[in-house]
Amino acid sequence: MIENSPYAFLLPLALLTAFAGVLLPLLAESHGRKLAAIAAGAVMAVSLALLVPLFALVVSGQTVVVPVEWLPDYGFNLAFRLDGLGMLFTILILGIGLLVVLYAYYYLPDKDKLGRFYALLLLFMSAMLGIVLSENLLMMVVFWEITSLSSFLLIAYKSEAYESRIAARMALVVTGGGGLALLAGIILLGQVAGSYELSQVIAAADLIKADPLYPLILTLVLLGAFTKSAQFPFHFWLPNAMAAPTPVSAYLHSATMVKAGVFLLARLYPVLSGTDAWLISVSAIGAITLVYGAYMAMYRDDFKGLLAYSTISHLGLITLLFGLSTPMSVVAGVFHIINHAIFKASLFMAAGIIDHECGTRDMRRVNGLFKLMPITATLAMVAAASMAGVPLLNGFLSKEMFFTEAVLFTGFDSSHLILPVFATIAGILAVAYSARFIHDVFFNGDPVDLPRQPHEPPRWMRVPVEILVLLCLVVGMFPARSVGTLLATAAGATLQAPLPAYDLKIWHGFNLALVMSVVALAGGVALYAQRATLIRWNDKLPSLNSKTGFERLHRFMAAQASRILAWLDNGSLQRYIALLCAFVLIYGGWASYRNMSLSDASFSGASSSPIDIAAMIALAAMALGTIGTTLLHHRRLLAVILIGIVGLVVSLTFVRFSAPDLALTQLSVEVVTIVLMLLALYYLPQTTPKESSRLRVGRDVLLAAGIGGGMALATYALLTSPFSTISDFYLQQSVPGGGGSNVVNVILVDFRGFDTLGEIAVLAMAALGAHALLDQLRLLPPKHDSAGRQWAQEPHPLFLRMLMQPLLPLALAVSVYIFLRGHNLPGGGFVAGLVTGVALILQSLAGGLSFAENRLPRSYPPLLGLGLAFAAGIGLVSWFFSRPFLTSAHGHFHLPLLGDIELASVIIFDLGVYLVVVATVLLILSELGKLHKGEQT
Amino acid sequence: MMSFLVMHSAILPVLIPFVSSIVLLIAARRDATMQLCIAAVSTLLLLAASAQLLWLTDHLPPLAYALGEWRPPFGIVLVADRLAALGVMLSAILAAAALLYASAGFDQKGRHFHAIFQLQLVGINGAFLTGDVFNLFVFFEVMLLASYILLAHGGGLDKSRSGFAYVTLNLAGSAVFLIALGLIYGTLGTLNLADIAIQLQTVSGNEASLVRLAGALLFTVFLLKAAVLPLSFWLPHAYAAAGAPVAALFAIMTKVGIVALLRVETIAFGPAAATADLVGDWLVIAALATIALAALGVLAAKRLQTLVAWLVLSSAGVLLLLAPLGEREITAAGLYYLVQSAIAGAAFFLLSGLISDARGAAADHLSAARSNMPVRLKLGFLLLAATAAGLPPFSGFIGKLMLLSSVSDASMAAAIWAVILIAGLLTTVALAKAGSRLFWETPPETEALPPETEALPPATQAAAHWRQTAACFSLMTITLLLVVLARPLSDFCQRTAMQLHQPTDYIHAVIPQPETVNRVNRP
Repeated sequence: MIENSPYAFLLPLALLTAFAGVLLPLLAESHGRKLAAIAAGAVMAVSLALLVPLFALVVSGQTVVVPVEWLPDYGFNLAFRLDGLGMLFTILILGIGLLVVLYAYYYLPDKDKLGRFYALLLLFMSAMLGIVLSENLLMMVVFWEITSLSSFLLIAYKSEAYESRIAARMALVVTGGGGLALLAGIILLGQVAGSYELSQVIAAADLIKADPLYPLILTLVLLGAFTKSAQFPFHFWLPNAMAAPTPVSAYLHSATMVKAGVFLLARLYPVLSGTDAWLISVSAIGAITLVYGAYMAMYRDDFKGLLAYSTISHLGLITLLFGLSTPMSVVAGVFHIINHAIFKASLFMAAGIIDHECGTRDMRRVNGLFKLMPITATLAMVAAASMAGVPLLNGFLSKEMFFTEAVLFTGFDSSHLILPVFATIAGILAVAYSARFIHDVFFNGDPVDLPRQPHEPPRWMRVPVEILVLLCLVVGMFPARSVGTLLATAAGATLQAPLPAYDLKIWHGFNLALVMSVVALAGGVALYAQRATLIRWNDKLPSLNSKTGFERLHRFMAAQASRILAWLDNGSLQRYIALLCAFVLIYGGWASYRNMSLSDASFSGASSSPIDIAAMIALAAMALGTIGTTLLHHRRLLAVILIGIVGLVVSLTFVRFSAPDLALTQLSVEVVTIVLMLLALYYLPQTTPKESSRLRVGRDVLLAAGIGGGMALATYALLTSPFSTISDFYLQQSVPGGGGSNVVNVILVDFRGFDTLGEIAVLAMAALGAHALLDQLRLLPPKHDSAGRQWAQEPHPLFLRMLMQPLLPLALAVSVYIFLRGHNLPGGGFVAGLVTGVALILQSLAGGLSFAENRLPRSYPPLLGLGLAFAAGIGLVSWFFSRPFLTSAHGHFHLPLLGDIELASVIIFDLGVYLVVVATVLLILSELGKLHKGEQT
Repeated sequence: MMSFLVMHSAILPVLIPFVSSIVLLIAARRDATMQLCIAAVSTLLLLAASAQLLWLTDHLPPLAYALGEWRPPFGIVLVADRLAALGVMLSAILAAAALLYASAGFDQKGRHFHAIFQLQLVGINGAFLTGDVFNLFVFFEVMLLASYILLAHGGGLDKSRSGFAYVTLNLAGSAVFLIALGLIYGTLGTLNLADIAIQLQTVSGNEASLVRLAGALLFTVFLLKAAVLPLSFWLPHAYAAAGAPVAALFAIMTKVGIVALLRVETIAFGPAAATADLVGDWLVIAALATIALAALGVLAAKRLQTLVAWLVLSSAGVLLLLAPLGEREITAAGLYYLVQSAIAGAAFFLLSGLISDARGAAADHLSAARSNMPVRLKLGFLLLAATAAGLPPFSGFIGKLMLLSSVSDASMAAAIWAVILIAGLLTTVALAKAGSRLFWETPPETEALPPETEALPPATQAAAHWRQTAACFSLMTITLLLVVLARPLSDFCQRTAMQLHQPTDYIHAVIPQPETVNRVNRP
């Protein structure tokens, strides 16, 4: 049955043409709106022409499939399919599309250049074609969502109008949301079936229906179909979507896009139908929508609104027919798709003409138009009669089929009557609202206070309506000859089974269906006659404005979201840190608690060195310093001093554990940072207000105790566990491989020189950051301290200056010494840099920041750069020896005067470190100095 | 020359920006044109080096680059595999766009922008490439400090405040990182990731619980960078406050945390029995909660850039699913998602900057303003909004489709599906509203409801510099290319995931003969 025709390539080509054609109207726009319209029409006509050669194949019962592999890992292929159902929709989409292009040219105001309009319309048309021509279901979902998106843009075409914007968003949310459900449903469906190709999914139908996921799949797919086809309770977006220009309403919201939902039902009919779940859910929703839409249509004063609700009702009818799942009901459903598209599109266009001519759509004012525009009125009346199901018109035929099915249906065990009764009620309502449309608009006295004086529209604006109304008549009178083949092919493709025997003719003899039709016609007219009573009664029902409701809901959601966020995140850094601590505590605690046993032998057997008095005192001082910092952090100066104590004890600890390098570094870092901190502190309030509530202090104490205790436990466990390490390598390789006997320094500049390079970059950035952040900042220093005492006004004490100036060369000499011996003995670039920094800081303290600044180079960033350049540059030199970055070299040299010397290339690296450290200290110092300048000026 | 470039290919993405930053500091402090030239040359070289690395890693086993020629695990090693190369390539692309945008004047709003920008790239690329956990710490520091300065670039209360919280919190994270490193070295005696993977295989008893603690702390730091709930609150503040090009570059930063998590988990901690359960279902829940939180943020956002920041968090939430799910197919799908979300997020930040400029005083506040927006901004917004909401046919949809279809067999698949799909719907709702506000509404509203916010005065429009527009639209073009080239990219992601989930290749590339590594036992 699946045919590989030599012309199959036309199928993807037609789609490609359509999508590529989207740009044409935009390009044509500048040459006039007429050309834009012609371009749009041409694109549709060409797409149709490309497909026509394939129609013959399809009519002969074949299915054209063109697979193009794309993302096979995810089953997502560009596979196209043309079968009877696709052909029917293609004809509807392109045929009505052409008429809409013509109609819109006259409908939209002359000042509209139309390029954007036609581009959007073509985009929608292409996506819609994509849906009906997809073999791959994922590809279908893609096109499905594009129709939602393009519908959003088309509804909001008059974006300056509030109604349009809200309606567009509403439509997007409902149909887009349904699309997400459909996506989920299709993925599940494909996974159960093992493929997303429709042919294989259909082949796996029994497997799917037996799968435990079937109910979920069905629910998700139906959500997609029902939202798109505006089934109750997702119908509310459609009446609001009437804010779109009428050509859009005619095309998207009656003939095509809303049909995508029922198309989906037809498409997946062979896959998902045949179960009770399908029967009950689809037909129940369809029946409710059928009656609800018809009922609501009666009460619309806006005739476009009436047509919208009527569309909802008819979509419900089609849904119901597919839900009943008998072969004949499917035929009726497909037939009604054709008929509804024809008469509803013509009605919308006629309604657009009337709106266009009268300037309003209120049926309480638009009356008696038959006298003013008789041709349009006649056309509209014929179409409306078809909508009501009057014989000799196409609407009658499919409605008659529906009534017959309603009578014959035996699927519901409990009551055979329920369906015929429902059908008749719906029929009565349909006649009533059709009667209202005809009577109110074209008769019923004279127009009331119209903004414009209506008359017949331009000749060509009416042509699309005339064509469609003619089709109503032709199909209504010669159904078999006009659409017999199309219907049979489409219904056959939907069923994927032999067609039932049926006869497309007007007269089926006297039967119950005919009685129902007569009852409906008579009842409908009677109901309309009693409209005044009904309207009064209906007015008492609570009305719901879905537009403001939607906006209110949105605002409510946004406000609730804000509230929740504000509750979770108060912007407090303390809370962020507390959350981090809690996270660490819980996660770390959980992780390490598992398979941990404190009674393990390795713990008890731990060796520990005896603790002497000095160590005890030092530890006590550190503990007191830490606690004191925390307790006194409100008094900033004290807190900084106490931190200094902690740092000092840490460096003493390093001394005790024979790590002179670390001790030296720690000491100098401590001095430099404390001094810089004190300088910065000068500008800050001396005390911090107490803000923490008792509860928060409690929380923080708990967290701190937990983290501290946990760290102590972990450290204890760590120190008492045996472990194997690679660290012996460093001890062994330090001299032969690194050329230095100070392992710490060799690690820093050689084994792990890359880390050091990164860290000096961090240091440089800290300085650059201070430079960038404090730039232009001028702070007024406080005149007095917190107790109200004046700051001392004396300039820098002479004594201090006298003392410090001779110290400078000495300190510099020391730093050179420390630097040079670094590779073999405790020292190195980092410490040396800090020592230099301390010496220069002392000068500044003694002589004032500006004093020092005047005597030092003015700009430090190049110095930072130079330092980094030394470190990275020596690393790059190794490239010339075909060695990786940072490969060191060292050798033994005999130099005059100095004698034997061991030189390593890493000394250059260390020089870079030195320069960066010095430049960093000086840059920060000078920035703080500049702040001071504000004091003097 | 060629073999020379190949030989050092793994370090080039780190060294190129490093050297440029040095040149910028020394040679071009005052001359803005000169600065720009250096930065541009550097970024172009970086693009070339990244492309080369991408090609090499795709055709060769992981490349190990031993710094100082010290044999791993003794020295530091950079390891370029497909994942690292992908990250580096991505950061080069974002950097190029961000730099182009910033060159229109933003770069001169403060000092040292270009030098710090290059150092930021050093940090990001180093973090992607390093095969040593201490070195990872160093690059995290480089990244942190650079990002702090970039975040503050341009000045203002918002930037200072959120920057302060950002840097303080992340410094606390650094402390946690250091503790974790201490524990790792104290138990396993090594800092090399491949060696850690080897050592973890045989760990047991109390040592195991210490290693587990170390792993938990390490993952905490990565999760902080990736901004998982409850550690996510810093992100929207910081990303919303940053200048547009800076925020665009930051779009890669949460990804660094995620890639680090993925790498350390798949290579070292996941395969070892003692630590296999450190990353588990709880992270799936936390990731889903992060996505949900981000959806709320998107709904509540009052500025476009804030909204985009929440979108970035949302994609971080999605990507956090990869590590705990730990399936090759899911990782492959996630990597595509990573690429597309980073580029789309960066483009969105730039677009937000353009929109903000075009609206004058109303800036990017989601309120009506009397302004005539250029069509290209409307189209750009439509494209990026649809991408962010996961609507077809854009890259966001493809990423989402791949993820949904690959997670369907995972634990909690139903919850993952529900959260991702509903979050997508809420994003659609919020973006439709935002677009309506920004482009369609005009101040004097005769609405059925009173307007939420006061209309702002008419915009004083400044024409966007062509470079800003070009930067933004190049990234958008790339998101479209990600759709057209979905197949090759998806195939590459598959190969990347395969490599990642085969840790022996990585370990073997770093330490070919583990038995020859000399270890001593310490009591």
